[in-house]
Amino acid sequence: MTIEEIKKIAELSMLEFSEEELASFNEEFKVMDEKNARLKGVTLNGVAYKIPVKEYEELREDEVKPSSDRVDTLKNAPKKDSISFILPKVVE
Amino acid sequence: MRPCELSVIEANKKYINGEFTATQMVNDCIAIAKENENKNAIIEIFDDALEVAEALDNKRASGEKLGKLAGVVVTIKDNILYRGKKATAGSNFMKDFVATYTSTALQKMLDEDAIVLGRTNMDEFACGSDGESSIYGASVNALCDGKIAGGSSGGSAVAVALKMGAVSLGSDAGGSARKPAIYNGVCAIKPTYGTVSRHGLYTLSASFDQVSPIARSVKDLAYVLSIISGNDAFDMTTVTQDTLDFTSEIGGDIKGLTFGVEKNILEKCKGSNVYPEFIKLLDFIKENGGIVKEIEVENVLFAKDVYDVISNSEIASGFGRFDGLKYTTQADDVKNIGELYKKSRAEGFGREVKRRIMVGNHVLTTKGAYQNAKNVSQLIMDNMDKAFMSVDVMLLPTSLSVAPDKGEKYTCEIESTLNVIANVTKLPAVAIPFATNEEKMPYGVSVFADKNKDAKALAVANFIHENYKGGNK
Repeated sequence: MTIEEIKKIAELSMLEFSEEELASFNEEFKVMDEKNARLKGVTLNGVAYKIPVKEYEELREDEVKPSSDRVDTLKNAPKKDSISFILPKVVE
Repeated sequence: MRPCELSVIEANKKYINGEFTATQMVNDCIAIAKENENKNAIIEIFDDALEVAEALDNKRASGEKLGKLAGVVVTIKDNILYRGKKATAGSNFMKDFVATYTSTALQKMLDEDAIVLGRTNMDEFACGSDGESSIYGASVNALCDGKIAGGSSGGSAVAVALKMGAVSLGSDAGGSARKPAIYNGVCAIKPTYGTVSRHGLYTLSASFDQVSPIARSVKDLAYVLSIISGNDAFDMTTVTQDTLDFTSEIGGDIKGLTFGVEKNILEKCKGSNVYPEFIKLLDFIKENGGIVKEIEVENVLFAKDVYDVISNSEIASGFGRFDGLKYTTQADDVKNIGELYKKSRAEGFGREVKRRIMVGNHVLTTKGAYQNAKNVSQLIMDNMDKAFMSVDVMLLPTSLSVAPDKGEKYTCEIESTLNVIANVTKLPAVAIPFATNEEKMPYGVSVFADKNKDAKALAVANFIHENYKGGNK
């Protein structure tokens, strides 16, 4: 992979690396490509993944239940006022 | 005998009989934790542990009915939520995060009067198998200061081994409870996927994560698993039964049971330190009426490839939630939101977490790779199902050797395969120490069973743990 392609993955990952660190991912990605290639070579004979979730026969009652406590939740907000998370400006 | 030395089952029985107070038990566990601070196993002793103990003592004094964990001290891995307590997952990113609710598994223990002593050290976000990538520093092996504790539930395993609590809730997405357990001479179960709710457990890899108890005996594992398991509306992958019993088969022998040994995996273990000990164990099984059968599970050696593709993809995708907006950490002096994301993540995540996110995003940009890996996982699951039509349980070493020295790592593929196979196939696996080397460090063996046959795996593991003379008793 080129360093530009690795930078694109870093951009998608919302991470920043030095040029040296970026270069080190070349080998990592190569290993993963080899794994993908090996798995692609496995004969599946039509076998497909079955999602392990329960099947419900009926919907639950539409009733009010306790939810997250606002005060508790706001304790974890990096920036907040008395009732809200304060988010940075998005539209410039 | 000090209260902290009691097993889960003994502690509950003796507490109900009035043989000690919960306050004595908690003080005893705190004393042990303080004597062993150098092990870095418990990163916070909760300041209300003694208050909870006093309340329990008052409950007993008033004649109220006591729960199945009354008198039992529990520790929890730092990725399991307990309302009002910090839960940082060993990460700088979450260093100030306080849980806003309690995980289902822990709530079930609290409902049975368990006392939570504190939270235990772990690899950052459970990304690791050596216990050395925590913001709090590495945990140290319970049996030898020069060796690693293992990970990612290293703090939990050390806390149980040194009797800072009778049981700990760890988690296991690829051996994270089983491996540290055997490195420190204790036992762990990775239950069948869906046996225990993941609600309130930090998600690492949703396809593989399970809450996993760690204890000093298999009987305790079965007892605790019976309490924490069952259906949960907050986790759609949980079993349909509200309650399950994993203790019913404990106490039997192994006469007539068929033990499968997967020949491709075992072939790759030849030459390792554990191999001769494992062969001796097979002889013991035959001497006790078990039938050892060599089996071949087609494509099983692809389990590690499947695991790496799926787990890294799910980490890359799921860790998008750590954006610098919600969870306590936010970078300062940024010009725009893109910079805020990047800087917050750069400051918050450690090296291994960043590596896995990058590798995962590389996989996710490779067309069809994730889905193909999921399909191969189904193929291996189907092949395992077929294998379990001819055997009752399957045995594999848990690790090729004893706990490595600090700074040393086992990097060969088969070392990981021994554990990830249970996560990839969703099968239960019970890890127990079964023999020791010349330095008295434990080797581990894992007992696998078919899906939802956790009770069978526990019963066989208990027989080996209690009767095999090569074990670390």
